[in-house]
Amino acid sequence: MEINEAQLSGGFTGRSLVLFEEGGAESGLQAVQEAIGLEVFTASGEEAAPADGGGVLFETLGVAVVDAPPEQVMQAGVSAAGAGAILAVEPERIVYALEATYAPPANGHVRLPEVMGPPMPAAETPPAAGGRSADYLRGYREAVLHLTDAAGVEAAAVAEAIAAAVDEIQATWGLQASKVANCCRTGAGIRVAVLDTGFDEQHPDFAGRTITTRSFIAGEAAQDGHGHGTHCIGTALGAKCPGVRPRYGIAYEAEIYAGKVLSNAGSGSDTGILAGIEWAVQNKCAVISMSLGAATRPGQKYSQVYERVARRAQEKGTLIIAAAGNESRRPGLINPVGHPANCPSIMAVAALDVQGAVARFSNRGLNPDGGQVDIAGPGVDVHSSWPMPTRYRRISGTSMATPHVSGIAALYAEADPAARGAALGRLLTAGAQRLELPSTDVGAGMVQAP
Amino acid sequence: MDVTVLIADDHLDAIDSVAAALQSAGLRLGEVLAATGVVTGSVADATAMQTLSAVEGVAAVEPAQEVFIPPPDAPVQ
Repeated sequence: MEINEAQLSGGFTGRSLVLFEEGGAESGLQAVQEAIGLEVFTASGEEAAPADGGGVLFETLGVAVVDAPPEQVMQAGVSAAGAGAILAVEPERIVYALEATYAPPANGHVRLPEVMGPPMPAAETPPAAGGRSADYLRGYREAVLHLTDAAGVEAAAVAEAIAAAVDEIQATWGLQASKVANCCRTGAGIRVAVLDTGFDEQHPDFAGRTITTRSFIAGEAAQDGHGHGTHCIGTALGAKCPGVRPRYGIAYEAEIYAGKVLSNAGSGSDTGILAGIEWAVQNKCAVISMSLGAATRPGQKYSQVYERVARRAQEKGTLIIAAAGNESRRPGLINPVGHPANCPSIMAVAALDVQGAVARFSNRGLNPDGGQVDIAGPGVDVHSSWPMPTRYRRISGTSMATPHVSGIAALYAEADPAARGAALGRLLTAGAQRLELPSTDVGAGMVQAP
Repeated sequence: MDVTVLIADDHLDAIDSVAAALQSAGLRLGEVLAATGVVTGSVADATAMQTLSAVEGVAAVEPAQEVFIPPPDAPVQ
């Protein structure tokens, strides 16, 4: 919620426009009504002006006009239970009919050119029955457009929002920038496989969780002897309330499938990774997170084996998400997305920093035909779990960005049981926050929780 | 050398017999991954890989790549 202070001076009626979240008008309005003691009725179309001491709800628009100043509505909204449903509060502007000939209004309000659109022919603005309703509604339409534009500006300023989100007392910057901290989804009922160096099952932040482990490394148990896997699992699937703040985990009620495909020394092979994918698909994991890969050369084609495997996995309801790779040293050296993230049917994840800039190591979509970056996630200075007794570490990499996307994928999968495989991937990219950066670097933009 | 063998869509139901044919063609069998349609294993050399790709029901044969992540104390992973 925001109030534009500059708008609190002249040119306003003293009433407020309240923009509600889609489907949230009822609960939001109830919160406002209860808090400020106003009765609000639903606009019938004939008489849309709020009665004294009341308000009007335009149900279709999700906007209400209430007879109280914005500060009061704002305060009410902040304290009320339905506050989450209120997106913005603005002072109501004084607007008049956009007619070719202007007649001063009877109530003495002055005309405000800055909120006027181009004059419309009088023939297109027939007076509605009952006098001012049609003009009044048209004015509201202008105001609503202004409100929704303001919300758009807010979205476009994501880089600034990210930069401002450096307070990590409650949640990591990554969980704030990806809107996980405000999301009510938990990943409950969703299985997420993280194919990595295994997992420290003794980590206290994961006590009581449903965890399935399997090692695909000969001679090594699934216990994480490196740390990378425990860090990635922490981001994708860590607790809502870890032993020590801040919160760093996303899908905190999802089932954990920890497949060890990288040795404690940090090496692995396609044969083990493909076996891990098979295991995750057989176990009906909706998401496979792979913070691993090998560098590719410019012009190199993607693996046909992985591409077909990823498509088959999608058809069985499993989406594979992989790190774009860390082989770049921007600005001087930029390398293409690595293997197997360069497959068209595997989502490639780039890394962003707290300012919303591309991480200097993050690879770019240089190779055509599948080698693109699909989406970006927080991947610089990422705080997450580490095998005991260290407990927590802060590291960087597209490996850290990837589990942000995977954890959020689990939230989308929970929210929509029909969203699996390719459809789940489309939800992620459609929901991403667009950035003023090349799509070759960040794909659809910063991943956002549903 | 380790290889990954992609089984063609129209031979997924017969993956075990394709795996057997691959063994006859020189594959030291690793695993049969039926859900995703892959057979892993190893062969003596690149020529042997060519032989495998001619087996009926095989869509592609690729050398298995190694992947690495940096050591635990690296700041970028």
